Amino acid sequence: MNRLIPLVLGTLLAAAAAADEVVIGDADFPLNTPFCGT
Amino acid sequence: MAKVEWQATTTVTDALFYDLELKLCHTPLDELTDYYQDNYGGNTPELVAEADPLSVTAGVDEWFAVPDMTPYYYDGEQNLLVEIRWRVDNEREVDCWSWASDSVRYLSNYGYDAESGLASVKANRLRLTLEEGPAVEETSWGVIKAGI
Repeated sequence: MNRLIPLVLGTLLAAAAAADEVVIGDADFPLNTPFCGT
Repeated sequence: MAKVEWQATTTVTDALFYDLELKLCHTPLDELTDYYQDNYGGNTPELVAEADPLSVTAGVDEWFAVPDMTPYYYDGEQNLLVEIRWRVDNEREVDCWSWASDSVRYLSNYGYDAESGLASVKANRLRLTLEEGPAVEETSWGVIKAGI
């Protein structure tokens, strides 16, 4: 894949924005995008 | 916003991505459409990092980023698009941790200038580093706190 857009919801950012680092989402399954060599 | 990172699921060494661009963009949309341009909601994506090539070396569960990102002014309210694209690579894949979100949150396609893509509810797990700035201090911190 060469052009990708993940969308991060502002509500998710707001829910954790008191910290310097915000982790969005879970580690549910591996996905080869990005970055995949194709 | 000072950094955007992805999390590798397996060990990868020197995966190369040439003419790579990372752009961020505010959007009023809660879900993506099939067309890249439509997802910007009239806003202009901002180039925050580029690499030629980006070399990714990471271990299991390690986070990695496009280095030397220019800080992005996030308004603390709107949704955020994270766009990444490159022209060619050395065909080494970097598997990244992902999750099934509750709405269409991911658009992908082959081709640096693709106008449309394949939309999906899958979404990359991302780690974003936020630094307090004027936007947070003046207009958005109350909104952020209200969301906690």
